[in-house]
This record gives sequence, C-alpha cells and structure tokens, in this order.
Amino acid sequence: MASLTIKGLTKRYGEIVAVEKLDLEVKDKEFVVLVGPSGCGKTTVLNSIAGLLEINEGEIWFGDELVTAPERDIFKIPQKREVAMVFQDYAIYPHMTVFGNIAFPLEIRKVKKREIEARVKKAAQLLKIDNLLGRKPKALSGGQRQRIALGRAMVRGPRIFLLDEPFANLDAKLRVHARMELKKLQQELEVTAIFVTHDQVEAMTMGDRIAVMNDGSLEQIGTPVELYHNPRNTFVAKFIGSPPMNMLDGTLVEKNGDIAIDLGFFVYGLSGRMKELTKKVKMLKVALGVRPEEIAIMKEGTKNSFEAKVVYMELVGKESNVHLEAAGNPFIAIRTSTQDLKVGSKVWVSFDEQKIHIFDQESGKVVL
Amino acid sequence: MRISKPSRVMLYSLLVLFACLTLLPFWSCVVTALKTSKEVVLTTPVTPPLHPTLAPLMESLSYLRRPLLNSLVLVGSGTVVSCFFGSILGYVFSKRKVRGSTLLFVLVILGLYIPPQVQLIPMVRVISKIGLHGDLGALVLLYMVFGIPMCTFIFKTLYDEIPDSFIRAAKVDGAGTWTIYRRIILPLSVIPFVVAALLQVTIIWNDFIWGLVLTTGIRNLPVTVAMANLKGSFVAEWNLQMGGALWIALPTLIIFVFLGKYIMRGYGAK
Repeated sequence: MASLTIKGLTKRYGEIVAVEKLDLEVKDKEFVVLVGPSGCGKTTVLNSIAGLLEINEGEIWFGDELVTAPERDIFKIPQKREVAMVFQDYAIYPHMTVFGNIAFPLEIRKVKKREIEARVKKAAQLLKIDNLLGRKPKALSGGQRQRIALGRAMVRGPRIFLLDEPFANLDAKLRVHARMELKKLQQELEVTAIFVTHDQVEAMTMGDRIAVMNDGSLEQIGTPVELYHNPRNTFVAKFIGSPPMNMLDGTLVEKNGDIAIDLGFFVYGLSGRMKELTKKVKMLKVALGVRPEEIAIMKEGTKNSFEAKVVYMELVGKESNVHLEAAGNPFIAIRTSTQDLKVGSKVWVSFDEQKIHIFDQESGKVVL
Repeated sequence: MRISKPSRVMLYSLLVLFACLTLLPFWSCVVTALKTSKEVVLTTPVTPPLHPTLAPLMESLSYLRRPLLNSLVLVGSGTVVSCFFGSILGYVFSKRKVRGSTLLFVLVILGLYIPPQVQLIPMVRVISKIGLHGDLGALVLLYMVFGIPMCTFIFKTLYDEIPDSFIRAAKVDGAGTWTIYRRIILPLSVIPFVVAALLQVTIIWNDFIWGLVLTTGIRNLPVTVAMANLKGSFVAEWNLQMGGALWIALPTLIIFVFLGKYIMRGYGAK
C-alpha cells in the first residue's frame, strides 16, 4: 500500500500535448476516480503511473519512492513498480485457464507452487469465481472475465491498483452491481486505487475523491459532494450530474439600485448574499447555472419568476425530466409528479436563489 | 440469393468445363505415367492406357530416391529455421516497436520483392566465395535465409491481431520481453506457425531455379531439378518424367487439398 504523488506531469505526442502540468495527490488507501470525456488524457495519466508510458516532464512518487522523473533520468520499468492494472478489455489470456490467468503474476515472481494455489483460491473465493478456476476463459461472460482480471490484479498484493474503464464492456444492470462490489473489495483490501472512467455516475458513486480532467489538465478535484454543489467552473458543472446543470447566458445589470442578471427574456433579481458578492465582481457577461432539481415549476407567477413552455417530458422511474423553453432557451427541470403538466402548456418557473451558481462567461470560472 | 434453374444449369456446366480444362494436364500426367514407352509413342497423351503398368513410376522413384531425400532436408531445415526467426522478428516488429522499426520492417519486406533472377549472379558468386558451390549445403543456407522475410511478414500481421493490452498487462504483472514471448505470444502462435510452415514447405519443395544453378551431381540435386534430368538426352522418356512429376506433386497436392485454407490465410495475410 502506498500514497501517490504526481507533480507537473506533462506528456506530449509530437506537437500534441496529451497532459499538461498535472498535479495529483492520492492518499494511502484512497479511491480516486479520474473522470473526463474521451481524449482528455486520463488513460495517459494511468499509463504513466504504471510505467507503460514515459512522460516528458514531471515527477511521480509512490510513497517516498521516486519512480518517474525524466529531468533526473529516473524511470522504473513497469515490471518493477508493484502496481496492478485492470484493462478495459480485461486482457485475459485465452490459452490459460482461469487459474493460470490469476496465477500468472505469481508464477513470474517464482512464488512457491503451494503458496500460489492458496493465494489464487483465496482471491477466487473473495470474487466468487472459485468454481470457474479450471475453465478456459473463452466461454465466460463479461462479468466473469472482469472478475478474473480483478483477481489477477489483487492476487499479489500490489502497492497501487490501477483500473482503466473496467466496467465499459458490462451491461447496465451488471455495472451497478460491479460498482458496489469493487468499492467493497477496495475497502476490504485497503488498497490505494485509481479508477479511470468517462462515466460521471461511476465517478460519483465510487470515488472517495473525483478528479475531473479536460483537455489534458485537471479541472477540479474533490469529494463527490464538493464537485456537485461547488463546481469550480462551467465544465465541471456541466460534466457532473445527470441531467447536467442548466446554463443560461446573461449580463450583470443594475435594476432599481439592485443587482440583477439580464437573461434577455427575463431579468433575474439577486438579493441577500448573492447581491453582496456580485458587487465585487467587475465582469458583465456571466452564466447563470442551476441544477434541474432546484427549478420550481408553478401554475402562477410569483416574484422573480418567468414564463416558460413545456416542450417534452420523460419519465425516469420515480422522477420525470421536464424539458422547458423560455424565449428559445432550453433547460431541464426534475419533478416527482407531472400530472398537472401538459406538453405545450405555459408554466411559471423560478430558481432557488440559495442554490444558483454564477460563472464568468469568458473564463468559465465560478464567481460564486 | 436464389438462382433460377436455367442459369443454374449454365453455371454448373461452365464450372464443370473449367474444372475439366484445369485437370487435363494432371489427367495426362497420370495416364502417361501408367503407359509403357511404346504405348506413349503410339497413343495421344489423353487416351487411357490399354495395358497399364507401374514400371515407370517405380523406375522414376528409384532414380529420385536421393533427390527426394535432399528436398526433404531442404524443406525441413528451411521451414524450421525461418519460422523460428520469423516468429521472433514478427513479435519484435508487432509488439516491441522501437524507433525506426517501421523502416526496418519495410526493408525486411523489400526482401520479398527482389526477383530471384536478379539475385542469380551475385548469389552464385557469394556461394562460390564461401566454398559451397555445387553442394547441397548452399541450398540449405539459402532457403533458411530467404524464408525469413516472408515468415516475418506472416507472423507480424497475425501477431498484430493479438491485443496490445495482453502485452501491457503482462508487463505490469512483471513479465520481461522474453517471458512475454514464451508465455503469451508463443502459445497463441499455432495458426501463424501452420500458415508460415505450409507456405515455406510448398515454396521450397517446388523451387527449381536455385537448385539448378547452385548444385551439381545427383547427390546434391533437389527433386525438381533431378526430375528435369529424367527427360533423357536423346529420346524423351515421357512416361518416366510423368511418373517423377507425380511423386513430386504428391506432397504439395496433399497439403493443398487438406490444408489449403491455411495457405490462403498466408497469401492474404489474414
């Protein structure tokens, strides 16, 4: 077990910068999820940690051991790093039995036969695949293969667990189950784990902390609750949460001596805390962010509310996503009951002022 | 798709016609090999023998015994050695890419495209320089080396189908380059080995030109060259020649009939 520290990691492929000056700190026994859209560099980071890629700049530390530092000509080969990795396609060797696959890393380390057997059996029991040990992987299901890959990773007690989208090839139902099992396993084994995914739901449900990446750099790192309620910029705000946070572009204006946001079709008046904070802000162009569940839909207008049209409603189990439109601006609200709503009808909408976010339109950074 | 009856009849008659045309030389070869020298002269090459005899077949076999053995040696050594090196080179070019390996691979493959006619004179000189001219050893060496580019190509293309994640997983699990080859790549190489070996066997067995220019004396000749000598100096002994041709065609015939699909994979490199 070990902590992991990455300082200023930069990886270039020719002219293309895949990852730029990334800093990341993972505590011992922590489960950190690297999440971001495809091509954002998260797998590059994972491969760099494993030593499968040589980086251009920066340092990677396992605990107090420096494993990668190109400026100092330090590079520990992957074979010696004592990390375990689970790949998206699981990389199960088709010519070996399940037992052979799980035992492979131990056999390479010349562990004694009897001990190999004991350790493989223990891992298989933990993963509930001990009845498959004699089988060839060819006929096994995706979920079983994924367990074999996990078994191979955990059998030798690595310092750090690296997981590269291990659930991408599982069907939706199995994925929910696998998420819970992996998280439980990680806590039982008390290993440091870094999990890469593009699925924000996976990130939210599994991570002790989540690192959101975009375009080769880290946008924000924090607990799921922090990211959800206090996104640092519009990217994180839109990436975390489903449906995503609504963004309405507007300008800061003064209205009767008060501060307000002119959304074009409606002037949203700010009061209290918001008013005080926005007074300090210099910029005019802002984006008003509000989560779907913080939007109230009413039959009649109240103070600081505006009129919108119901465009479409989709039932998602207990709740419904209500697609609304105000003067050509689409946004989504979540509601538990929609019996009083009809597609095409007019409604009144207001936002919970305590829960709105204001971002700088240009930089995307949060103002408050 | 359903084919209407008249066009189906057309199709089959065409196919039968082409099959007969293609099989005609083989038929002629078989019937001629079963005739006496007298009957060969008196009948056409396609008429079946009136008094079939196995004598030409036996006679040609006794003459070709040593060359058949020579060719077996050539096929065995050439196939084993070039498959072994082809497999290792294919692994390096497919899974252990280093700077410039693409260029190196292209250079190796270029070796496939230099026609033997161009190489005849330089090769004769090289072989003479190392003192092997006329000897079977010259051919042994030549086929071992000349088979490597093609085998490399086959192994590389088939190894490309093995996911890179296998290699990366094995690396993280602690396996070095050689262990990965031995434990992961080699056990997954049955198909490329069969494909490459069959191609090598048929190419070496059927080859004529190198045996003709590099070896002398019945002790050193490969079977194809020896068969050409069966022709006779003054009278053409067609039945003997056809008998020899049958013996030579037999192994490749068996390979093509039963293992042809692997050879197609080799040519298509799929």
